[in-house]
Amino acid sequence: MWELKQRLSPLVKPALTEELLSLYASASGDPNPIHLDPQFAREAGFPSVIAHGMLSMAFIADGLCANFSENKYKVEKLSTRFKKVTFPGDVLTVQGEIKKIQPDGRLLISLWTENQKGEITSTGEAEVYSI
Amino acid sequence: MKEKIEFQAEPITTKDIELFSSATLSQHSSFPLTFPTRYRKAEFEFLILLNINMRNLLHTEQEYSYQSPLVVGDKPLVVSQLKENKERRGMRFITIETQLICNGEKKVTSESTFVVREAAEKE
Repeated sequence: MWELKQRLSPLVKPALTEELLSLYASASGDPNPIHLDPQFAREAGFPSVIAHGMLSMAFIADGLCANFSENKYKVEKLSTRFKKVTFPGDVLTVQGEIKKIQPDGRLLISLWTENQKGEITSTGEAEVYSI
Repeated sequence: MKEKIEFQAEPITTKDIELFSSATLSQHSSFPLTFPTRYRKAEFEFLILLNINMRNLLHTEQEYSYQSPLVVGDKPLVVSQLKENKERRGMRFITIETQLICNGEKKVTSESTFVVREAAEKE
């Protein structure tokens, strides 16, 4: 039984790599070379290629599902704001907290990713209910 | 300028799910929640039509509403609409909504928000 302000179990993801970004670009169909081409990324003002924001959101989704098994809960909404750019080498940890428990039992959950320096790189919200 | 782009996607296969799970290091769901990002092709078409320089493009926000589960074998009709294209404080804000419809049933609605730095450059 979840309680208000209860923290979710954190999920530490493996370090981002250029190979993972390449794989993600292919799997997701995101054609932006800023994630793949170092020269293009430098011309955009970044020191190297940057990770897809949607990869952070995928991590958030996985952290959510790690705490709310798809056999027991249904996710109705998931949103993410991309706050800080992430790079190959960064290690992201998904964190979360129960923000609100609705009278009908639906849970509103705050989620976020932190990098290895403890900086918040993305924030999100999810609405789930027990099935 | 088109305000709606739609296309018929190929049926979702088990291999698609496996590839996406592998590329997102997803271990805790049989069907990753962000899989619908594969259907953002029309979004990129909008960005090209708007003559956006990809170097200046930042994806700032993404939202999904799940009306009904997508499953292997679904063949989504993808309908994307340009919801916002406004300039504020020297930056352009673009929001595109995409619906995935399978056999007439709306399954997922997504909203992608982008900020274009140096918005004036692309005019």
